[in-house]
Amino acid sequence: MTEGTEESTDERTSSIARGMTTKEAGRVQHNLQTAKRSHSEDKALLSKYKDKVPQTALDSVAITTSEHLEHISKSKKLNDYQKRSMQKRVQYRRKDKVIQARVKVHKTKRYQAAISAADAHLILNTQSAGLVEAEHDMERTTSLSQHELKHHHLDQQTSRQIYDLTLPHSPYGLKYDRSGRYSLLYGQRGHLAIMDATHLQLHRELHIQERIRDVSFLHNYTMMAVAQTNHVYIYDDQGTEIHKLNDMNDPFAIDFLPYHWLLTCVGRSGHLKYLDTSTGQLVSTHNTKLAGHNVLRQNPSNAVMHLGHANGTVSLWSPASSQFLAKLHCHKGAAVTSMAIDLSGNYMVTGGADRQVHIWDIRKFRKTHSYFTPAGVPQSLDLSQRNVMGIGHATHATFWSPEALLRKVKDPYMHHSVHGCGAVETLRFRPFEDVCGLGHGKGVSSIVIPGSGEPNLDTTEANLDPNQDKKQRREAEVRALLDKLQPNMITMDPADIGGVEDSSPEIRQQRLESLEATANAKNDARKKKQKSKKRGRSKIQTKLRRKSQNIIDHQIVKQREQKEEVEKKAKEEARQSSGESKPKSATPALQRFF
Amino acid sequence: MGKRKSHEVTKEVVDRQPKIVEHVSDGDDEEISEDEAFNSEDERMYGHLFCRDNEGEETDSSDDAEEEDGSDDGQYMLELLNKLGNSARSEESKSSSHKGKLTLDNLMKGLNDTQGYNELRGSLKKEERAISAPIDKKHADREQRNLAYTEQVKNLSGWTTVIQGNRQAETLDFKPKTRVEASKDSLVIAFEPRSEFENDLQDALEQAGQEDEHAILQKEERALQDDLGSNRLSMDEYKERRSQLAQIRALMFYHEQKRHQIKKIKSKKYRRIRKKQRQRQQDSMLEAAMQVDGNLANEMKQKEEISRIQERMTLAHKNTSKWAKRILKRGKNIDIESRKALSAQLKRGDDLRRRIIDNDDQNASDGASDEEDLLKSTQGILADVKSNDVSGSEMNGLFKLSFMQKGIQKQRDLAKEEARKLLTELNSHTMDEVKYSNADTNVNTSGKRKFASSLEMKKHLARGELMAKSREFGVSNSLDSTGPINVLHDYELGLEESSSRKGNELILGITKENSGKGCVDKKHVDNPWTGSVEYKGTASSNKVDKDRKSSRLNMNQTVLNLDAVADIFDATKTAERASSKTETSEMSQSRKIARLNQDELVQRAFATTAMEEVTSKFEQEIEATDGQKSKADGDPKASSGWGSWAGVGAPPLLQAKGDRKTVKLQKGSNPHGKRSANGKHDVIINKKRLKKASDVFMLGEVPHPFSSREEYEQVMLGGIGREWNVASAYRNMTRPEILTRSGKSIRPISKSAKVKRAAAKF
Repeated sequence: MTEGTEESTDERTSSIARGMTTKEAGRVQHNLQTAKRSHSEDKALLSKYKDKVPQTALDSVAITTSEHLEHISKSKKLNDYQKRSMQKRVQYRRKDKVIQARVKVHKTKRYQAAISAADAHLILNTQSAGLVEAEHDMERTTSLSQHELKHHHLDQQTSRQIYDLTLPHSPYGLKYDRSGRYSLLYGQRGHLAIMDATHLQLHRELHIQERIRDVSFLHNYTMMAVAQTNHVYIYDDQGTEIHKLNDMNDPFAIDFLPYHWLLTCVGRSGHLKYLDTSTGQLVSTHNTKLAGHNVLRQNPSNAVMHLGHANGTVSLWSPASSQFLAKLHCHKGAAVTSMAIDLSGNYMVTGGADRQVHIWDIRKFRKTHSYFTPAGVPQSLDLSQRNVMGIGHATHATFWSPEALLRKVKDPYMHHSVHGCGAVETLRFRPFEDVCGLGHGKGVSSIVIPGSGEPNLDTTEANLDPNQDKKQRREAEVRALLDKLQPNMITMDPADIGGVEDSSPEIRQQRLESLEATANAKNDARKKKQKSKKRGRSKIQTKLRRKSQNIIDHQIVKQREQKEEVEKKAKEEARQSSGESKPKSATPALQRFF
Repeated sequence: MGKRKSHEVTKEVVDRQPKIVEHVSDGDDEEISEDEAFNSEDERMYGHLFCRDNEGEETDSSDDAEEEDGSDDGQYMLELLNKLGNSARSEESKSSSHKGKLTLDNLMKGLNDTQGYNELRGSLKKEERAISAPIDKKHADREQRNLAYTEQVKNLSGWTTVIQGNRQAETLDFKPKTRVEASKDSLVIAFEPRSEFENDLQDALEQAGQEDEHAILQKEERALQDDLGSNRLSMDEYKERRSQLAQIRALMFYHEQKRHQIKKIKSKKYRRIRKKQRQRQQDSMLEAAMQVDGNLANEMKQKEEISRIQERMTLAHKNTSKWAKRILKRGKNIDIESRKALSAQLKRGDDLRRRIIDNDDQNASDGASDEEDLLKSTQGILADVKSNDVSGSEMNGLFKLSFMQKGIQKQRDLAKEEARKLLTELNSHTMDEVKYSNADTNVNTSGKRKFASSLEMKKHLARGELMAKSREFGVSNSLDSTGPINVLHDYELGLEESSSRKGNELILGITKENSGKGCVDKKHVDNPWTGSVEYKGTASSNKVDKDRKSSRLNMNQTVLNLDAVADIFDATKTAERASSKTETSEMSQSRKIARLNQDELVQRAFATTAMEEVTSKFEQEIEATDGQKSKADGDPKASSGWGSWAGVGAPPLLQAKGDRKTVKLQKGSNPHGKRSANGKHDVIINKKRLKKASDVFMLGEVPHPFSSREEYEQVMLGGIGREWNVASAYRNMTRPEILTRSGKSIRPISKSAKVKRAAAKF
């Protein structure tokens, strides 16, 4: 087996070729929220997927005033005078020289920046990523065990990352901070530990005499939120309880939005709550009207919260709207058990109680394909920075290559099972490392999945550097606070922020309607059978006859064979009689010349 | 002094006139005394003298050639003043004692016994003349303002590039361009001893033999030259060189003397002659250059034209200039020279304008009569040339010289050639006319006639063709009535003259075709054109059939028809259009067309239209039914007439108040409007507007300087922060508009400021 050294160039290089900066392109894979990104980038991304995204969605983005005018002139009932004036307005739309110049200058600057970024990319991003590849057909990458990896293939530093921790307060879960330096282990029966994942040292350990449902680091490892039996508590890295959040009661799942400094929580009652951790105020509370078991994940590209419900639906939420932004019926008649969204915000993976794992294209709101988990219900799901998909089902953890998101792949990339340790409760990839952490019934185990992590660090981003010292951490904290985004900025399309609104509600509604319609349209057009409407075809008699024609039994097979033989013989005879001169020595290619 | 006096004089004269209220301002004492010295009486007597003087000067300045007469007067005045000075000095004591006032009369008394006194007196006693009022102050001011304005504009326009550059620049850099570099050398060079100690030190160094840089350099140079011996000269060389120089100097001196003599010549006639000579020389040179260089000729023509235009615009030669006005102000007292100059100017203006008028006349005049005249004149030229060829013996004097004869011959040849060309062209036009006016009979003959001049015709093909075309169109109308095909005749009546060119040509083609064949059989049964038309008539629809019975075809259809037929012509269209077709070529073409059989022709002509017709009709039907249905289905308010004011200029139908909230979607705008086949929605998208986000973080309209959304979005595109950019790019993107260096003065704007290089383009 060899490790593929080639960089998977699909998105990155193509985006560079399109004039985006490498930084921007790299950002797609990095842990970045597009809300912070300038919206235009997304437009570039959108244009990249022009053929995949429904045209109407794109139109909505690039709808222009002139188009709008034309649209109005077409749609509304106008009299002659109004039509003429509308035409004139379209025709003589002022093309300002100054603006043109400005646009040109900006464009030039952008391209120059892209070029310099590409140059910098060569210097800064020295590491390249790759996946394990099979050398021949008989080999399977899935058969590569962690034991083999640890003892035969990996360097010492990396092989240290393969370990098992047997802990008493099981079942266990774990989460990493954004830099991937620290991991937070939580035993559901009240054990909490911060671990330095790089040095494999215990940073702090504390025992809470309560059930822990979920945990989350806040902006950095020094603070963490813990969803306990009744409330959410905030602790610092020394284990001191800082806050008790009375607003967030009966919490089931929590998550933190780093760019908005928002702690989100969904509880037993099905209320989704946003709390600003910098001010401590509850920003908004939304009633999902779906109580009970809930799954909560954030879309890293636009900070929209995705909530998986017990009725098989996934709803999308923003603090700006009291209603859901969108609702997808993912699993028919089965609860959503796990969910993950990739960094670009293009793909969502949902696991349901029906043992299905669905891949969704969120841009189109369409399910592209799905996988089946044979071992059990997919309890946990995660997508790595480089889009390796990890599924924890029963005692198994199956990993799929990044291609699995784009199209249906036959075989998984890697596989790991935790025999005798109970089900895999949580599965999380460690940022900037090829490591995946599994929390299960007997503790925590860490495994190495080659090619899962982003190889190059992003030092420009606050709180993303795993090697930062105390001072850097403090500065980054301040910087992140200064760059904090308003909660109401969270929208489905981050491009909306700072953009021009659709001038008429009709257009906006039309756009959304068409988006919805295309999403709801049946996936495969071929499946739609055209009814033949010829006279007499729909008679029950003829239908039955046709049906009977299709039945193939052994008699019919026999008859067919006989017929074929007869035909063959006849052909041969004809050939012999017509052209005896055909020499048998001639090759079949030459025989047509005789 | 004379000038000043004359000025005073005019002022006084003005004073006496009733209209002007301006009084002489009292300046210093000296001026007063002068005023007194030259009182009104004196002025009456001698004023014109000074006036005339002034005039002379004026004319001098205007005309360079006439310097001498001004200088004459000057000399005279000088003498006069000298004498005046003498006498004044002698009489000063007397006059001051018994009269107290010094007037010109008193001064003149002393001149009684001098030689030219009487003459002078006579000239001084010349009758005075009225001087017209100066130009209105308002107008004068206006002129002045205009002038000042133009001058100012000229001055300011020099700034445009700088200003524009600054305006367009993204950042203005006011930092001093040159940094003061304090190197060791620069400090040493700039050192000047100031303090006592420094001075002492300097002295001491100088005493020790220190020299400044320049002195050392000179020393070195001297040493170098001496070493090579380059500044040593032999005696012979020296002498030779000296003689050379002397020669040159002598020559120069001689030349200078000669120039001086010529300059001294004061004869106006001589000047005039010289001027004319110069002019002629220039003209001839120009002409020669023009003959060689076509571009130059063009240029000259253009220049001439421009000068004409300018003349027309400015009327510069119509006594509008300041100079002319000032002269004219003097009325009939203008002296001959200036009068001549004026008239010359006027003549020049007239010349310029007349030429224009002539040109216009030429352009305006056209038509047969002019053409005939031209024809005659060209024929005349040809004949003349021929006759001149024979009569060579009549020449005399200068023209007997061989080179002159050659030149004449050459010119004549040229003229001949030109005339012949013109003649052929004219002939061809007339022939065309003849041909088309009676096409049936004259086709053959005209063809033959054309062959005779075809060689020459080729030369002027482009122009000739164009003419022919125009003729073609002109004549086609006349054919309407005589054309043998009545169906087509019908069409043509329907067609207007202004119908498309293609159509016209086509008709012409058809008529021509038939004019060729119509002689043979007039029933044109085998004619593909009529056949096709008939076929179409029957095949297209029943309606058309019915119409045919009334022997009227729809105008539109015919046009369509003709267009379709035109396509068939396409291959040979150019030949057809040229109209200089001979019988044979026409025959060949008709054969070509005949090769296509009836069905093919019909197919080619109507296949596309028929298909389109069917499909479009079908669509229309669907639309119509849909429209009816929707109207029937919808609420009664939606149908026309309900709550709407019908008629021209009516406002668009307003939505009912209740309906406004639920925005109705346009029908057919949504391709997937229907629900999915299984009737289930898997996706619900909230269509409510995010008030909190849109109100605060989105713009309702495209912000001011941008006219469209694309522009705005393009400018907003791309991140400018540190996170997305390299340091240099970040700096570049966030550079402030104005850059200054603290503690350094901002230099004022200057015309020579360097315009910043534009950013690289991609």
